[in-house]
Amino acid sequence: MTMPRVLLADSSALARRYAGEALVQAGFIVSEAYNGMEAWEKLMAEGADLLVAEVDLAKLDGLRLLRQLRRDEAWQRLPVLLVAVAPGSHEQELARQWGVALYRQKPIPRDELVALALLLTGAAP
Amino acid sequence: MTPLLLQFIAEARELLDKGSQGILRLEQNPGDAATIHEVFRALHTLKGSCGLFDPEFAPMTRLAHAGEDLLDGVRNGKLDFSRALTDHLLAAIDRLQGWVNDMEVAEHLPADAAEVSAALVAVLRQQGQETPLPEVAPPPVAASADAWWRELPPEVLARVADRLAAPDAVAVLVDYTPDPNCFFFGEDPLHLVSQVPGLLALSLAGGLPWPLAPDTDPFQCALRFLLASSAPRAEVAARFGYVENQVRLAEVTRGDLVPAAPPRDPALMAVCFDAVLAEQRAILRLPCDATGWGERGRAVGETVARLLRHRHPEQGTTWQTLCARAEREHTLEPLRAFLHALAAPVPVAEERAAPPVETKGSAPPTEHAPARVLKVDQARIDHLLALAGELVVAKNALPYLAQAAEREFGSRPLARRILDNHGVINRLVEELQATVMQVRMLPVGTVFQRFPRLVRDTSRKLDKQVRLEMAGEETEADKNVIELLAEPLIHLVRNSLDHGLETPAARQAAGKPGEGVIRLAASQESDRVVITIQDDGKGIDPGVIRRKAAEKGLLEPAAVAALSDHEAIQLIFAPGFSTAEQVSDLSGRGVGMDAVKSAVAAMGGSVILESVAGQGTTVRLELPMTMAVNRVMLVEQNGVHYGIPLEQVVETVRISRGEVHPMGDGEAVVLRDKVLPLLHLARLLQLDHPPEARGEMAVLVVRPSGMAELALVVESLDKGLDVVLKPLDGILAGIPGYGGAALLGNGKVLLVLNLKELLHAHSL
Repeated sequence: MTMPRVLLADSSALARRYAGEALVQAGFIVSEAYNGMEAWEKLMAEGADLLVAEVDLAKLDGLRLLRQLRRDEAWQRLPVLLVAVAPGSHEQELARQWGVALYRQKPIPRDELVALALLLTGAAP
Repeated sequence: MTPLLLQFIAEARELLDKGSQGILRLEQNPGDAATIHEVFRALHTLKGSCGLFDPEFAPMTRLAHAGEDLLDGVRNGKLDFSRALTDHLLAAIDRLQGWVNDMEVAEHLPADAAEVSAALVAVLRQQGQETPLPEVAPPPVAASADAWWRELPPEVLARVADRLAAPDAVAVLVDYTPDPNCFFFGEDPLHLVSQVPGLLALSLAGGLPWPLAPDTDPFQCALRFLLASSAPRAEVAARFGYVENQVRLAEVTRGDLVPAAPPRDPALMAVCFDAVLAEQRAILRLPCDATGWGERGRAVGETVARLLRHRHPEQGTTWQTLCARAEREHTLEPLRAFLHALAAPVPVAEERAAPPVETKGSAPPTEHAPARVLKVDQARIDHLLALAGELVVAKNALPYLAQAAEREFGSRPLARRILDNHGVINRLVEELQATVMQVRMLPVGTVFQRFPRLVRDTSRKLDKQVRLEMAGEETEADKNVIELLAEPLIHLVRNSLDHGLETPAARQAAGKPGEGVIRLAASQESDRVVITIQDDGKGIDPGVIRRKAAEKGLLEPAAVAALSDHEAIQLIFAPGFSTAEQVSDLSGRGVGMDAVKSAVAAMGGSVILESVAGQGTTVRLELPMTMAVNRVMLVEQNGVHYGIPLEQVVETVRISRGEVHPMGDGEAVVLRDKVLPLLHLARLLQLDHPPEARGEMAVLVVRPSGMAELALVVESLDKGLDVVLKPLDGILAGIPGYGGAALLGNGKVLLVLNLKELLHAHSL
């Protein structure tokens, strides 16, 4: 049984750990990236069923990462959960334009994150 | 100490350092917005991190929040960055740093933390406006157990769990850190590890901190092996018998590694489901064109498909069908309607009771349109159309058969009966073809509908007042024509907006209403679709065009002067004319009119531009309703049949040799009071010239698209014929002068001429 893969892109190691532990406990395979470029490279190398990314990523911010994904036909379908410390309406607009799955305030409580991951990877029965 | 807490301490220190440095900088330079933001962000992030450990860290959370609020006030200009403020903020940060240190030693906050925090918060609140701390406490972090393996990286544990089939299957976890000097004892860690029976997973971790390069001792082992095996514990332990003291073993089950997923809270799942669904609906409300589809349509398709697996698995197929349709037609409308219907959740019992009404391929259940619409793959229609076309050709064989019956078998009655039959089949085939073609027809309105937005946005950008009027949106044309039409139309409308219509001030100065009008109209004229784009702007001055044409060397000055105003204006379509930018504003047209013209010509259509300086410009596009079947005129030359597109044939006449007059290098003929140049098809095709006909000559008066009329001498004229034109491919594709080939009823291949190319090649 192969579990769905989730890629966590967050500049804070603590935030990655917090989210990662919860997802691993729920049975997901979790990879982590600390900036946008690393996230992009990990996606190319390992693939993922869901990307959870922070907007404020170094090198390639979450919104640009999303846009880059949508411009590549291979990644146009990947559900992306964007989180921001301080969500803004302009960013919300951009995220929608590029087909975000959900744009939310960070941090997402663990049980909610797991529920979202189950829904967005299609693993929820 | 848990890894999470260790991580927290390291991160909190960094953030607090950043915060205090920023505050000191602000004291020097109070207005620095970037630094204010930086300090704000540091405290904000810290607050978020503390929140992970609530309620234990609540005193820290509150203090960080109070500091953040204060900085927010400074950021918004509500507070001044005073000396006192600096002191209070630094005091708060010092206290937070002290607590982080306490935590490192004692793993918890001192007993008086809540009191101290409350006091400091009160001081900070006095400085600014009070905002209550939102009571969102994330769940406490799961307590970590003491078993050593729980500290292993989660990804390693996940991988092991992944390899264990059953929930109760047992794995032996091994943590093997070879002695740094193991190589000197004759140990071979890699070999040892490779000998472990039933190896499930292996992970290499750096066991010791790596020394700097110059100090590296290559003979030291600095590795740590983490591995899992499905073999019994005793067997694994036996393998490591010689290095017992360097190994830790633990037995785990899949259940240990992946604690049974916490019971999913249906209410929480529902909240998340609704949140994502609401976001997707918001996305679908955005306008969408072809790029928008790629940017977000597919993502919405996938996201909703996954959501449906959770709550409405039975709707999955319907959704996929809608997505496929949306993708084809680049419209999000069907998806929007579907999600709208999902918005009102149906009680489960009712949902079960209702039998599924929709079937695959039908309209979604939410659309109340009568279910008489059949959605068919376009490829099938195209195939049907191609077959109908072949039938047209096959039916054309019957007259040949009748001829043979009469000539070869001497039976005139049989020939007549064959011809009668031909008449019946002809009628049926034509009807069939027309019906299939009808299926492919789309209203022009599908192209027009994007213009209200385009005109509104562009006119606003240009500070012009423009009213768009549209008429004849219901006029139909073939899907291929409609699809190719969009681009030239956008170009023409943009030109009217950019260069045709004047600013309100200029319009009023010219005695016109400030609001300009662009009128888009479509209508059908016999088998052509006519689209006009009309504006009441400044129009085109033929004098300017003449001057520019001469300056640019497009024509000799004398030739320019000889042009009528109408002809002069058409020069705007000449390649190279409108590409110069300074021309565009003078001419009232933009660049790329030649591109419009060639796009329209490629569809078999034509463009005419009419303009009155000061009053406006009208562009008229004439397009074939369909591009599937062509009607050609058959002519014979040197014993071979050629086809000439019938829409370019003006008339057929017979003239006597005596009516031909020499003119310049060539010949001319006067027909209906017009002097037409006379050309010989044999010469154009570079065939041997047949002996001059003594008596009358067969002449076609033709008007190749975008050119003047001329007379063409052919050996003999035949009839008109419907053919399905196939483009030439392979090495034939590069030969100019041929528009394509078609199969005739007698099995011969007919070459259809492209007169414009042919004449062009000849004149070179």
